[in-house]
Amino acid sequence: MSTLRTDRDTVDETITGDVLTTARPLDYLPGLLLLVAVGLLGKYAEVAWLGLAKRQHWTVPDVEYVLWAILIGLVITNTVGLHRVFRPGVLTYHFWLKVGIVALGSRFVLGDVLKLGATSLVQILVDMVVAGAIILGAARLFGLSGKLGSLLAIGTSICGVSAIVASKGAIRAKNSDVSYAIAAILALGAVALFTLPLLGHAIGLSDHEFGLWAGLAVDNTAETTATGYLFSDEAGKVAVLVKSTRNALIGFVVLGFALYWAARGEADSLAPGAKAKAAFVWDKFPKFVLGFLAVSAAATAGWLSKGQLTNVASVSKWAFLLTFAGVGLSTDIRQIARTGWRPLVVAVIGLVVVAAVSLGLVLLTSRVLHWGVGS
Amino acid sequence: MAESESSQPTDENTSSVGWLGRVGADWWATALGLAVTALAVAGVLPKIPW
Repeated sequence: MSTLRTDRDTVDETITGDVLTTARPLDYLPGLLLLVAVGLLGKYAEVAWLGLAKRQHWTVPDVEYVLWAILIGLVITNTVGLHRVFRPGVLTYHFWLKVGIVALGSRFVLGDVLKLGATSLVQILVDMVVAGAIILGAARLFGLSGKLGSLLAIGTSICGVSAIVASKGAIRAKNSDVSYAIAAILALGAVALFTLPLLGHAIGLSDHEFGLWAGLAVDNTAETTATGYLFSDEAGKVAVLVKSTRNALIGFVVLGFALYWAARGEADSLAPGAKAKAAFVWDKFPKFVLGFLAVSAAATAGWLSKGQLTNVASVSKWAFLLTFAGVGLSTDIRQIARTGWRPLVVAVIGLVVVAAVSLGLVLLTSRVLHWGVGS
Repeated sequence: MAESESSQPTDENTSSVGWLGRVGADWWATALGLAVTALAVAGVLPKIPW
């Protein structure tokens, strides 16, 4: 999925959620090379920036490679633009995100995954109900169509663009509504990316608390990962885990909305029976979560030496670096600005509500109830 | 030949992307992540610097 929507083709790619857009492997090469180049530039810009500051005796903040990679990508796309030859390769950044998440499993003990997953599940469910209800109410207040309201609720309270794309067919939403919802969610992802880490430091959140907050509040997995890693590596790990738990719920939420719209005669009816419903949920389930759990199980079983654990963790970091470059390269600010103001207002309400509710939940559970793993 | 090649690729692309798409990026990413881990378990994953 991407915000690259400079022409009709790209709109279609965004709406269908295609990551593999062509059958010719060479078509991916220019974009992949661009992802690598922007990622490397970002990585070494951090080193160069700190080196320059040291030589000049400046006191400067440590601008992380994550931010450099995103900013360099943003500048390219929003100044010279991204030529269509780069598009297939750049669009693979979601693929690298998933590879990175699977490999990140090596950094977690399976028991911690299950404990943190269970803790965050409670928080996710509370967040989902409160935020979903407020967004649906706000959408009605601003006169948006019921289905656009549903898409914004799904995207904001659950899991971003993937959830919107997964819902498209199930609730028979119009392409224009899907485009609006995706643009709004991606705009908010960009806002969250730059504001949440600053707020987190200002509030004095620990790495664990910020990771929980980012995982609960930021809608799109790529932006969630970037937001977490912008705060710290530890926060990034926790954010990815919490977001993956959120992602695992896509099927149930989409099923709920599909049943609602089918009951009103405005979407295709689902096949009757629990087996058909289970198949529907499985179809929407993010399979890379299984890979993450498998790698975590292998690491927990002690099958990996310390050196090989480091190697797998490095694979995860490189994959995330390509993702961060892709986030910047695929964020077209002019396109987002062309989206109507009303869906954006509803989505902003959604972001503020989700961020506030989830921050309250994080503080309540970590500082009052003392839930969670580590501190 | 040239003509058939110029008309064929569309169908081939469609079916090939369709096959890639049917397996899905989720499964491909999972397979790649697991392959890397399997190499690490076997002790043959080369040193990857960061």
